Amino acid sequence: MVFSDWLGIGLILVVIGAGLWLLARLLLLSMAGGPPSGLQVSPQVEVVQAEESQDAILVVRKGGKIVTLTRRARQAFALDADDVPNLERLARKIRPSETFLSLCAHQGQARLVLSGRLVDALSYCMNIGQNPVMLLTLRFLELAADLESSPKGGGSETLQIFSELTQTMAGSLDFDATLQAVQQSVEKLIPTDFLEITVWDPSSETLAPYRFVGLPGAERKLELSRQRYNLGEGYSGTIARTQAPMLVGNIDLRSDLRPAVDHNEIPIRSYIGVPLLVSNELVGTLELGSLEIEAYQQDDLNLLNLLAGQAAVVIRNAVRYRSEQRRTAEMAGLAQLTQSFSVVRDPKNIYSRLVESILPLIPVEILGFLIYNESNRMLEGQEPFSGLPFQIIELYRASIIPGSAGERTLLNQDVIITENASESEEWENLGLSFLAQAASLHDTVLIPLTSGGRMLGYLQASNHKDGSKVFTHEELRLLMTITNQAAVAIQTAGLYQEPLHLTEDLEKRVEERTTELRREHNNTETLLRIITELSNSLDLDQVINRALTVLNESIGAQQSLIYLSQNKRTYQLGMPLATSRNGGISSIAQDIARWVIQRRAPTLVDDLPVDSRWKNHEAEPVTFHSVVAVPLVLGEEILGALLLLNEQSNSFIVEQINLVEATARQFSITLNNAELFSLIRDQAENLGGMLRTQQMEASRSRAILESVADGVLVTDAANRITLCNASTERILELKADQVLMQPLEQFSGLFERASQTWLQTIQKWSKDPKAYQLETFAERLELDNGRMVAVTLAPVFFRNEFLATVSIFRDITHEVQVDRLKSEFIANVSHELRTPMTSIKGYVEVMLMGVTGQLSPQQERFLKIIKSNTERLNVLVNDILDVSRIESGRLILDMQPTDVSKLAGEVVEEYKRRSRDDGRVINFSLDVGADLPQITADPIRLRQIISSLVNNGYSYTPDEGHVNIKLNADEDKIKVDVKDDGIGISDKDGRRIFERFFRGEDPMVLQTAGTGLGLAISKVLVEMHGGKIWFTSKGVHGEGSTFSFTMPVAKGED
Amino acid sequence: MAKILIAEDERDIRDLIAFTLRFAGHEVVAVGNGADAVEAAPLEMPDLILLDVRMPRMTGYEACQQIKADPRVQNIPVVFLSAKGQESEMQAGFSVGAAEYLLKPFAPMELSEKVKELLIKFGKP
Repeated sequence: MVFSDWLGIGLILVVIGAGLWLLARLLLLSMAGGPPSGLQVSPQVEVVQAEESQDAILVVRKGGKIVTLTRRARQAFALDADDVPNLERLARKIRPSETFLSLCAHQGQARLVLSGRLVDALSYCMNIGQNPVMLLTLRFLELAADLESSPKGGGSETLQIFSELTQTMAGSLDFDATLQAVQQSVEKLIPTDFLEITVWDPSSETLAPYRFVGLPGAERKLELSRQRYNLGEGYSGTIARTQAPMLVGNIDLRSDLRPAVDHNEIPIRSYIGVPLLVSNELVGTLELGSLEIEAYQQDDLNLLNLLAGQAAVVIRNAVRYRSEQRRTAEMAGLAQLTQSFSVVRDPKNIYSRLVESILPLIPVEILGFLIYNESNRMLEGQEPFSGLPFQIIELYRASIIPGSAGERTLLNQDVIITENASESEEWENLGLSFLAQAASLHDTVLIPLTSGGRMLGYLQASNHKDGSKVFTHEELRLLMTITNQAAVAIQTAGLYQEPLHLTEDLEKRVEERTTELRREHNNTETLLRIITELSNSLDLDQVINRALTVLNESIGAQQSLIYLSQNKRTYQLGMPLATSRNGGISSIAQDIARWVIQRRAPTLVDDLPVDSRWKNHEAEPVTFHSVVAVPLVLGEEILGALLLLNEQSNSFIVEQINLVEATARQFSITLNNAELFSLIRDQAENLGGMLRTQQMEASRSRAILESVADGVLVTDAANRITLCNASTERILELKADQVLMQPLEQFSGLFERASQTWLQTIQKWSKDPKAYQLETFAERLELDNGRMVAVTLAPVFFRNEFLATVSIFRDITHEVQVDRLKSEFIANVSHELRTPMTSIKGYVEVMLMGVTGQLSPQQERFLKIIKSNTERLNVLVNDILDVSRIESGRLILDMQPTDVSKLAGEVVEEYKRRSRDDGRVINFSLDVGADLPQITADPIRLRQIISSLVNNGYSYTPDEGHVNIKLNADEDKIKVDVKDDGIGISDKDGRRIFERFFRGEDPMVLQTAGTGLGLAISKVLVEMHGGKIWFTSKGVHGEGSTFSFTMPVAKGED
Repeated sequence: MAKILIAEDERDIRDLIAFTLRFAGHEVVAVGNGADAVEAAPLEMPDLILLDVRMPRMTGYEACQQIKADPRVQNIPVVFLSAKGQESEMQAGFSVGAAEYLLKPFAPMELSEKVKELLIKFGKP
């Protein structure tokens, strides 16, 4: 072999080209039923074979420059030996040209027409250093001749089908597509309910079944079963082992062997199967099943067998194509790897990088580089040399003497393959035999590293891991590829050594920045995930656990824990590194948490036992070494701390603190939100409970209001009617639904004058709640229908705020009627009583005047008794009439300017006269205060009041007693005191003294004429004048009592 | 002395009033109801007319009203003397033209005094 500048590329091309050529050739051979081709061929032989191949092979550089054309390719394109190939020129000869040009640019395959012949074109992209090239194979298709012997047809139709089928089957190298094509082809010729193709896997020595599932006629889906059939197992295994077709007319009748497929799954009744063989080499099986018995005949088997010949070839090709594709991908990966090698500018690192990268690809125990240093002519093993002890590496060197056999061997740039390096001639020449012996090198290959024709050294691979075994063709190919790329890298490293420092610095900075950006990106992503988790649910425990999981993963913490200072609550996730026996957190973890809480700052602990801050925990067992701790801050408040722990020291870096802090902020917000949520929820529940209670209360109150006999009407602050109970409806004869939420003004027309006052009062209160002075409004309304209604109105205040008014209506029509009847009755009775009284009184007085003759003292005394009692009767009648008037509200005051002292004087004179008449000795006196004003009052009633009080004094004061009247002005009112030195009033009697008909139990009272109405009437009259009446008494007999009353001096009167 | 027409359905009281007024020196013409009083007034042309309110055939109010409507007698002062003492009743009396409204029961001496005051007031001898 000649090593040139193109050695690297050339070698790969040859290897792959040879592989492809082999594929193509095998395909053609098998189609023609030719002899098998050996796989174990050396690269040297294959180069020749590639040249001799019936396939046309082109190598095109990306961009369109044709690098190489095989002889066959020149023939196919009708080029002379000295013609310069040109891609456009070639494309003109091939149809479709675009597809061809596309294949020259991108990997792929297509069927093309070249000079009237069908060709299968296949292209690979090869990454060789910085220059990828395209490898293009054109394979000529020829129809198999033996189809003519088809048992079924013999006719041209079957041949035609066969021809098409073969073309279809061969139309693709894709494995799945090939199986699909075989299935479709078979189904075109033989009806089937079940079709399975098994593929022989030599490595596991099993059959891998590919089953087509789906209804016949419909498109069936390809399914790879996980099941594997062993040789001799079931129908498939038997066919594979015997390599003979099998026809089973009725499966049930053949009890010794069952089909591999589960009968329950697909209940096939009859079966045919054939082995897929290429030159007696097992590819797999092709099996059909029918749900009916005796569905297949010998003819079907023959036809299937014939088809199987074609199927075996295409399936095997597809299998190989698949493995080739894998290898291509692998090589592409290698090329990428080398490209990445080429950016390594440091020669010290390059060998370790190369060795690290190559080792996983080649199963060898020893791998390393022998580098030839031209300056000192030394061939030296480079560190690291995988599999060799360092003391041997130190000895692994040889001096290459000019003109020696060693130099010749080296300059030959040959691949040196040996089964035992210590006995190898080349190794002897290179002066490395001793080392080969020392290192026990057996199977060894030295691949030359060349760059631009210069010999850089060798890549050495020794001692195959799979036992003593020569390196395979594939392994050599791979090693050579790697070596070529490594050579470029090593060369480049040497060339770029000088500007290394400049670029290194720059790259380092770029790398740092990239790392930083990546970290930032990762942090952002992590934070986003955590935020998402935290906002995912309101179940606090769940979201915190999820978020901690994310945090642990991204930070590399084994345990994370949240410590809340307020309630000492903790959340923990991961290994229980800082978990105390009771499930809380260990004291040292608490200390760390407090540390960050107190300082409101994060901290990073690289190695806990040597950190001076936690020396006080020395006695405790160390369960973790690394800690990141940050406070949980919410505004000014510190909620607690977040701790991330790892058993190993130096697990965290400073740069992670930012992320943890950001996460902690989110936790704080979440915890706070959760607390707020729970607070709000509790409040809501409380309020809900209160609301329910209130609603119940309201319903109850409402029910009570509805059922009371009195009408209840409530207006709100805006004077709208908010409640109108059933009794109101009845009494006012209205419908609640017509007035509810209506303004109160609607009522104004309903009633007469009285209602105006009622409405005005409500309006007054609602407009100016302060105007309300604890008064209660009570009025009588006379309805249009003549009924009388008493209305009581009261405002509702809550904390000085006017809320509503409540009006109570009571139908008093009947009471008013009764009252009126009573008044009429009393008036009539009074009249009827006065008439006889007039006679009695008149005639008695006439007699007492002596008009009817001289009276004896006894006659005179008796007549006086009659007169006195007549007067008493008259007083009683008058009092009863007054009470009646007061009760019926018919008592009306005739207010006018009144001189109180004059009235009092008249009363005094009257009683003086009376005492003389009665023969009693009572001293009356009247004291009038200075500047006593006139007042506005009803003089008759005022006289009645004074007279009533004086009468009491007169009646209950023993002879020789005094009755004194005092009149005084007191600011804007006058005060009248009637003082006697009579019997006095006991405390017990005092409380009831103003009640009607109450007279006390004193014997003197009882023997004195009186109705018990005087004081009651006086009280009403005084109050009607706007004054007050009261008495004072020591309650001691004989010390008397004083009755006093005041009356306002009306405005404008002095 | 004066001539006084009294109308009172209760004979006992009529006699009492007549006795009291005659005792005081007046000439008294007594009738039993309002209608008779209205009839008697222009015939007797008294100086003063005393009417009860509640009387058969014609109440005192009506009688007073008719007297006050009769130009011959309308200037004669009319005084009610009634057991009906409520404000409304007294008001009714004044509204039909009464000069005074006296209440029963009365003291004969006081009645004499009152009549004397009224006669002076209305310029009757």
